[in-house]
Amino acid sequence: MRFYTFVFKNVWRRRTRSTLTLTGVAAAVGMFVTLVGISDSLEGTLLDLYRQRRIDLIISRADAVSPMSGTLKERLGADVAALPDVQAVCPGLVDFLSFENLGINGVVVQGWPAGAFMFAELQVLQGHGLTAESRGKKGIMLGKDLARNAKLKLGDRVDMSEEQYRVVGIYEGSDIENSMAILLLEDAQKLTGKAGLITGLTLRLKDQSEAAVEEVRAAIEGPVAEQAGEKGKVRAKAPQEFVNTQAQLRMFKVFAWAISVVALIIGVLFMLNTMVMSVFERTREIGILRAIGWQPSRVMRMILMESMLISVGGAIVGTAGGIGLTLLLSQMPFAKGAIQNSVSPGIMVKGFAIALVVGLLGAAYPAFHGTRLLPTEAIRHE
Amino acid sequence: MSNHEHSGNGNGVLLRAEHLTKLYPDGQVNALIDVSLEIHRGEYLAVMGPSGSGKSTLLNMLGALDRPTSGETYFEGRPMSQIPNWNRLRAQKIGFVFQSFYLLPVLTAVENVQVPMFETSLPAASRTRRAIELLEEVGLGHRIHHSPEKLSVGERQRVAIARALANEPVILLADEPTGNLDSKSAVGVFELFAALHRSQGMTIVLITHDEELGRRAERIVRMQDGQIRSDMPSPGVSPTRGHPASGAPAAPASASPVGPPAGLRVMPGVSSRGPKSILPPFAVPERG
Repeated sequence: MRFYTFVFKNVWRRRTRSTLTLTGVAAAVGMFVTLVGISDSLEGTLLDLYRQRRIDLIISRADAVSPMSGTLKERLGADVAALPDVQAVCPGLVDFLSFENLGINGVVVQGWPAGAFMFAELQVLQGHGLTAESRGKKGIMLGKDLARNAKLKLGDRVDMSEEQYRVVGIYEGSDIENSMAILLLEDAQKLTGKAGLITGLTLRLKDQSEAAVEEVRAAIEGPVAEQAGEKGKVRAKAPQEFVNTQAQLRMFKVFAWAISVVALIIGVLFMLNTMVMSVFERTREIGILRAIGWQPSRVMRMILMESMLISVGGAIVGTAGGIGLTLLLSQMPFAKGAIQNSVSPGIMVKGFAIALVVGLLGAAYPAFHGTRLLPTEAIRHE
Repeated sequence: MSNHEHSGNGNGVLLRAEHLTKLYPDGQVNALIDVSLEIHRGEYLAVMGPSGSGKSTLLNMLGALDRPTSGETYFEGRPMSQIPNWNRLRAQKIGFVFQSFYLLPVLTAVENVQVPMFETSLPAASRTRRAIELLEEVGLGHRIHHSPEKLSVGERQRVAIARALANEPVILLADEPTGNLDSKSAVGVFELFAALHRSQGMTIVLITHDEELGRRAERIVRMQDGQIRSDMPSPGVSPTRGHPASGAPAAPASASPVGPPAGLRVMPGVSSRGPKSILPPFAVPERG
């Protein structure tokens, strides 16, 4: 018989209690994997978008808390484009609009000027893109997921801000873009009541070296902003920094971690309860083990390994459950495009680490108690 | 190398208790009062006395389970107070048999016997092999995969004895080993002790209430009120190893008058075991 066989038999002996505890740990791990996974996924999706589009800098209002809040003057785009190291600029206005005739609220709509490089990154599946020729024709492009979920096809009417638009194209882009609609910038400005304003600029630079990016950043936040009458109001950020500073994403992340920590504490209490009961019930048994020569360290190892066995079981079940739930959520219409349909290995590793922490913390006191039992007193224990 | 170091006559002092006193602080009870005792290698000693006479307390002191309030115990000449790791001492040198067997219910017989072996460097396969050998030697070769609840009380105590022998101890300490057994099983267990002592020279100290069974030991120490009242050879039993109380020289193991009684058989096939064999053949009760 191997030592771990003995440990397994001890856990299996109280299988109902062990299973319940394992379920508790699994719930904590599953919650962590799902919530923190989604939080990371949201960040990852946004970051992927910028990376796929080879964006080097994103310019937004300094006090903006999200890509949709805070506006800058549209003319800033031309000033930035005039910088020698800038290869391409795409001014953008992003906001929520409703498809009034369809009763669909809260569609993310992006406005780009005709000819912007961002259009070139979209693959038009049906119809055509928005070009200079589209001006004044009230055309709208829909991402393929949005079109499918809203059951819209080419030529369908979409009412926004009491204006009638027609679907002229359906495209495939990044996950986020597939759930959005795209208008010409001037249309978006008109529909959102933000004439002459943009929410940000995306830039491609000729030289992506850190020094070159830094130089452009300094120029934009300094002289260019001043020239556009936006001194002190403009911030230029690399994609990673931009994603990291999004208040909504940060709030969701804090929320995800807070819930995970609560779940973790509950998991520890579950485990503590189980292991305390298990050790106290086996007081005499542990006394016998000590009497026949077991070192206190072996008693401790036994109790910790029992706890770890339950924890690892919980981690496996919880991670599998978390992955399943994430996949399920990613297929939901409301979440499609925002949540990636996979969980990163890093999150899984963290989930296992959390389970091990639960196991260790939950078993620490019982294990310590077990090592302190005096054989003679433990054997007398009733 | 076996832990057994008993010589041919085996009359060296294995355990010496000097002026042991144990005062339990909670009740201010003197469980032991100035008890001195020598136990020689190869001795078979019964400690008898009424409840509360201090027998179990004495056994706990001798077995490195408890510390005296005053006095000293010497194990193989070393003062126990100077032995840093009593756990190791118990694991390597002392075998315990308890009245209530205390087998782990979740383990089979063969697994229970292996539990003390975790404190050795024996690999898993060797532990299993040795546990099977020990169970065969106590007559339970056919019950090795049974859980304790499927064994009779007598069989459980034999498993406990096999467990006590797992790490080749130099002494076996048994606290009322037949207290929970019917008379037939009790005789079987005593014969097992006698056979162990006779054929292997195992030093055995057992506590018993049973006057008749206690007389099967070579030497009887009687206790009362925490003190030794008498210490003398058992009437009608010649010592096999010689001890100071008898003044008799060591006698060969075969000279023991405690032979297998009717109904006991010698384990078949035991004599053909190889040089690694731990126990010589001894008597076990016939089944059925």
